[in-house]
Amino acid sequence: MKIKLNGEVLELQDGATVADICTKLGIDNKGIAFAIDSEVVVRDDWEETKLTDGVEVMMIRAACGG
Amino acid sequence: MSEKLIIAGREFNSRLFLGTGKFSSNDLMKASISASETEMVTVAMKRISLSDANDDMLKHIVKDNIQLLPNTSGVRDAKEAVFAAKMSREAFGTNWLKLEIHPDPRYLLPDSIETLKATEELVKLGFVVLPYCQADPVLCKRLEEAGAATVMPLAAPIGSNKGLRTEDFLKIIIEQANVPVVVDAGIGAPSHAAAAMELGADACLVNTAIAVAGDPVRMAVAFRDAVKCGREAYEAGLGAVTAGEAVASSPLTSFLG
Repeated sequence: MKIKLNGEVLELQDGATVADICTKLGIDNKGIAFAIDSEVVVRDDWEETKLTDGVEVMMIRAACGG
Repeated sequence: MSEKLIIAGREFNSRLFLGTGKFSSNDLMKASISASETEMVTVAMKRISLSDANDDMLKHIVKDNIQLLPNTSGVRDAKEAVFAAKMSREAFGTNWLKLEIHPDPRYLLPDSIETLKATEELVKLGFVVLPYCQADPVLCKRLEEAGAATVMPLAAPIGSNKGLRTEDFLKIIIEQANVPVVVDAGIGAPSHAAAAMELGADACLVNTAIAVAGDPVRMAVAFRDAVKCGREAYEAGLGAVTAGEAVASSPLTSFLG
């Protein structure tokens, strides 16, 4: 299936969860956060939150700023 | 013995807070943070793009003695600020937040109404809210009443390096505040920071003036010392300013006869 991650297409296996996005991108799960449909997905729910085809996911991390 | 700065029950040995924007490299940012002896460092948030998914600046900042202060830069109103705050809590594992709502990109001035609204809501949600705000004494009292952990009035527009343009209002804010007053934005030189501390500000937040300096690490040292000096002078008690005429500091008896 394909999801939209910050507007970019990301291909994941069917039944993938929010946690699988980190695995797919090969990044540490520290210092990041996810939202689906403007609702924050709390860290404890990443493993259980299943993604669906075409879903729009926001993923943020730290940036330099004052 | 210098008075310690305490915010929301946490004690800080340094009264200088640092922003992490505009450094030319992560190494320079890290060295400047270290040289400044700061214990409070701000970070922003950005959307990850697939091409730079591994670009993690956080590893350059995280240290046991440093309180991360995520900001809400980029939000336009209270609703977006609350969303950003929740995202930051998940990402950084802290409920501390620099609330900044400045919808106008030209002057980056904070929206007082939305800032107050967001403070009220975020405090109820358990956040430790440090709002960046106008140097407005009435607003600062309202933010304090809403449960803000500090108030952070601006000295001048963000990144302008203009110094204490709001000095008269900062004095009133400091006089009235029952929470720490952090002078944020516009501090362009160590002398500005020292002046803010001499007024009785509890801390200064500095970013641009250090990050864009010819030698950011040495400028971080200069700000570190300026903040210490200004605080020391405030606690020591500055002498009164006279109306105009000189007041002799040496005896005026004519010892030569």
